[in-house]
Amino acid sequence: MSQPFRHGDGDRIDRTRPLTFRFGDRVLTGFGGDTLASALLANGVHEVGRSVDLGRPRGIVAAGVEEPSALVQIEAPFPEPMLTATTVELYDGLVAQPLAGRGLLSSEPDPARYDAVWAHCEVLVVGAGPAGLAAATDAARPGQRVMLVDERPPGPGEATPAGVRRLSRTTVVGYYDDNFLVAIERRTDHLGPAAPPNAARQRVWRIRAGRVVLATGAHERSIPFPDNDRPGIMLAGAALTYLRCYGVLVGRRALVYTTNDSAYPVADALRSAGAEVVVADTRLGSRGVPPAGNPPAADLTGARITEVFGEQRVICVRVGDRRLDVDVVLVSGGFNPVLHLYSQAGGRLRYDEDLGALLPDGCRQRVDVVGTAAGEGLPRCGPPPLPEPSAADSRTFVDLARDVTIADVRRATSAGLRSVEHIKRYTTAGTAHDQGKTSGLLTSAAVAAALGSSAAEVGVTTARPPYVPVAFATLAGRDRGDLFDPIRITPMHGWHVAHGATFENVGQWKRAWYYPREGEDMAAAVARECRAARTGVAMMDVSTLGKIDVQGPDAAEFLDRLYTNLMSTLSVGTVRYGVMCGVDGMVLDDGTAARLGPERYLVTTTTGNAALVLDWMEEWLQTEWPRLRVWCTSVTEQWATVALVGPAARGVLARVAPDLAVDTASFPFMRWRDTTVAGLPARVFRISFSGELAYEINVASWNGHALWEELVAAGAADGIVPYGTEAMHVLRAEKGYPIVGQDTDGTVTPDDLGLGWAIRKSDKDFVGRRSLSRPDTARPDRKQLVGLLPEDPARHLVEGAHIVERAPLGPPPVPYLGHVTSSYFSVALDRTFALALVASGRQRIGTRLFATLDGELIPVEVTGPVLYDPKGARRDG
Amino acid sequence: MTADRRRSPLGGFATAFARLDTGSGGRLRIAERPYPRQLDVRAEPTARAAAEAAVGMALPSTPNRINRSGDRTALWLGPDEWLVVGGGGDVPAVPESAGWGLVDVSAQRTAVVLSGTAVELLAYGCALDLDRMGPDWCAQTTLARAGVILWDSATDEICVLVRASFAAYLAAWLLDAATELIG
Repeated sequence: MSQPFRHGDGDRIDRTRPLTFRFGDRVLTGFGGDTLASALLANGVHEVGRSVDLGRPRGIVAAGVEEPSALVQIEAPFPEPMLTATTVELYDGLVAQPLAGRGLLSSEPDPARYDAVWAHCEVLVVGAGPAGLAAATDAARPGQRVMLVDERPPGPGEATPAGVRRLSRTTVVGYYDDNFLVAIERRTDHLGPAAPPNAARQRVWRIRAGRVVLATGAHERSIPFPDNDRPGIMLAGAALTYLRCYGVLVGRRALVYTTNDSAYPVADALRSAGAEVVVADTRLGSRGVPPAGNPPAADLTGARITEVFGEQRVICVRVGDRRLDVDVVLVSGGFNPVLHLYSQAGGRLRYDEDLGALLPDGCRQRVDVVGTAAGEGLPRCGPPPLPEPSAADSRTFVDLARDVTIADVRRATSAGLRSVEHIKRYTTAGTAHDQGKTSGLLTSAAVAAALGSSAAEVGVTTARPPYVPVAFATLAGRDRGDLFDPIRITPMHGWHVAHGATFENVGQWKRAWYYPREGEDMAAAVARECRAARTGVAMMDVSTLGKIDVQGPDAAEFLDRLYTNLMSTLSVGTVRYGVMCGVDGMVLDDGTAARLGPERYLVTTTTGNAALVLDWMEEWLQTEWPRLRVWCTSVTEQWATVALVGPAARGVLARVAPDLAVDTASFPFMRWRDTTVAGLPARVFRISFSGELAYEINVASWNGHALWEELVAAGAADGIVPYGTEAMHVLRAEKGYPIVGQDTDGTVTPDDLGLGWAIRKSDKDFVGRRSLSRPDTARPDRKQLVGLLPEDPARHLVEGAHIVERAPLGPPPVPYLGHVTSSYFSVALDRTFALALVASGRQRIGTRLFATLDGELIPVEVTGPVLYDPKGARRDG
Repeated sequence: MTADRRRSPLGGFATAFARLDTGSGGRLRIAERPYPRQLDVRAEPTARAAAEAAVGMALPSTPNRINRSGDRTALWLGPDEWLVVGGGGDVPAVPESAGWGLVDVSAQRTAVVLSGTAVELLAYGCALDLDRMGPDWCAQTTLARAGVILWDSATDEICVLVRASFAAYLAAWLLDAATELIG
């Protein structure tokens, strides 16, 4: 007979909707509205897995998220590890496996969609039980947004109060400052394979609430006794839930084992359903005031379970001197009001001796706790009774999920631990998927007993988000694949793609790396691109460089304070290279400053540091120099910029810029001109990052693509070649131009880079100046930028390789002289070369050192950093 | 050489935006409004009137509010910073030591207008309570992972100003976020 333990109509199941599912190797049936746990119990299945460390059989303990033990792995439709059987809604075709405490990650990609949404409300009610519904109804009024969030599926006949937005299957998992709460909505999990593919399976709700009402109820707790983890031993309240909500009788011969009055109605209900029930009350004498109509007293008082028989399923228990044949033991050790969110919000808790429970005791946020969560209606109950110390302590569990026993707690206190927080970390009690929802106070009671203290004094560990486990895929939401992080592109990006460029990531930017032609590998493409720049003409998209408009009466003074060299002495129409230091004197960024007018400059930054430099400027203006009359505006994307480089660049520019006098006398190095290029309003700079004759042509970014195509066409006669960042790196390295962030690492001064010439000699102060005069920054043996030429001109050093003085290495410690920062093959030099930061590097020029490479020591000659055209003869073409 | 050869950052998305319009039965519309004139205006309190005279309209004093004047709108961006969107003509010149400044940033950002269920769509990536912004609002915030300026460009319409380099990312994000709204 299928589902032999089905009894009557549970109010959550739909008997007209039979469902078939698999658990392990068994094919079973259940009904719509079942959880996996209720369907298993209806089929008489209690044991669902094994415990994590001890491998003991474990069963279903609870009926909700507090379940410590019934962990399953879902196999289909999509593999999902470690879910509690009590929270998995049953659907047709569900395939689940028992677990031994740990799940298995799927090797398949998760095909489901996950997303996140923000919501705002004046009142957020968490929990749609009677207290929550009342609070929501009370709060609902025109103009006031009320949200009611509940972790369960909508119950039958449960009406949502008018004017209330209700989210079901939604668990609030985090409560942060300023009444900001995070909830997870399981939107299509319960549909199984029938879930629509375009609907987000789970959704993260980020909710900002004016006021929060927590109507989160209470979790029943267990009672420690030997072998209290056997399948068939479960919480009394859970048995009632299974009966009333799911029409499942969890057993036919039950022992109800309780410390309080709440279990008596459970016993009554089970008896009415036809079960034989014995009630064993741990208290001496009768219970307090018997509810009307109930049997007046317990069958056994002052009772203690001392022995449990049956391994895969409880079959018999010893209570005092009696042996009782049972198939379930229903336990109630009192209740823990669910105050995890309240604690996360910063709420204080106090221990109530009457209820044997922690209750809310004030919070700095606008939050109220109502109903059972505030202790309303909870039975009087002492702290959990603990067995006398015995050999059975190592089988007496406080935390089923982590296999933590009374003996473990005692071992922790014997080791000198006193705080529950420390004992938690030592024993791992309360650290599992359930965060000790049913066991927290048991652990505290065990600690108190071991220390001769009280649960009130010991307290419980602090609840932390998330309240229930959350899948990483849910948190990732849409921030995956191409949307993982913004991909920033230039106006010419489409051209680069169409022309086969490979790309490299520079911060969030995609920059063309090189443009391989048919049959070319990277080395060949880069060599061709470099050759074009040195011998003909080449062009590069440099739109990503940071650009900041600095204007105002004090613009010149401001830049003088930030750059190591003077910018106030620039005349309008000229450009200067500049270096910026942090307050520590280390290089922060470099770039150029062009004087656009008496009170206006355009400064450039490295691609990766554009936002950092603007923030740096604003910080100084707003916090240190508010009297300076300067405004900084990012114009990075206002302009698209093309570098036109090589001896033939002048001819190409002349063709497209008829109004511009391009000869060296009319347009010298480090000048800028406004003109028209290819019919587009443009600003042309004569600056060079390669040592060759070069122009940087700026147009409004929406004209960038047109400019690029015009230059490609105009340069065709000269064989113009587009080049990418790799060739740019080689060209600049041949000239010894450092790249901030590649050849520097925050410990490098301008002088270390050989840029001492860019540090002003005048007394005028600049950021970092004082640090540059510290003895350490003036040390002669600092690491300095030098060139390295491997003795074998075909050997290519690896960036990051260590530099040492001699080979073979002497006994350790081997003095480490520095490292390779850049390494390339140079077409112009017809050999490999590298840049490196080497201790006393400039004094070592001409000497022989060694670079590490795959366990080898490669001999290299130290040179100055400028390896190509050291006299700068090529600058004017 | 006067032909307009401009390319807007989201020109390539026109078809996808149109599909969304159809797919949602007109409930949600996304469209790029390219090349809006944008002037970033900075002014000291004493030079405010001069700046307003130069741009030809009053600048809002209240944080996160806008002023409208003809085809132009001035957005409050900070205590001394505004963005004047729309209009045309020459960019005003700034006299020396004027106490106010101005930068033409028309090509720095493009404009994307959302209409229909715009607030619902933005809720997927914007932390602001857009239902409670009141009239004539603007805000600088992040939408998904891109910095944006949002403003109340018309009834039942929100304008998103996004930097040109982030525009394609943001458009892809908006279309993705609309997956369920058109379902």
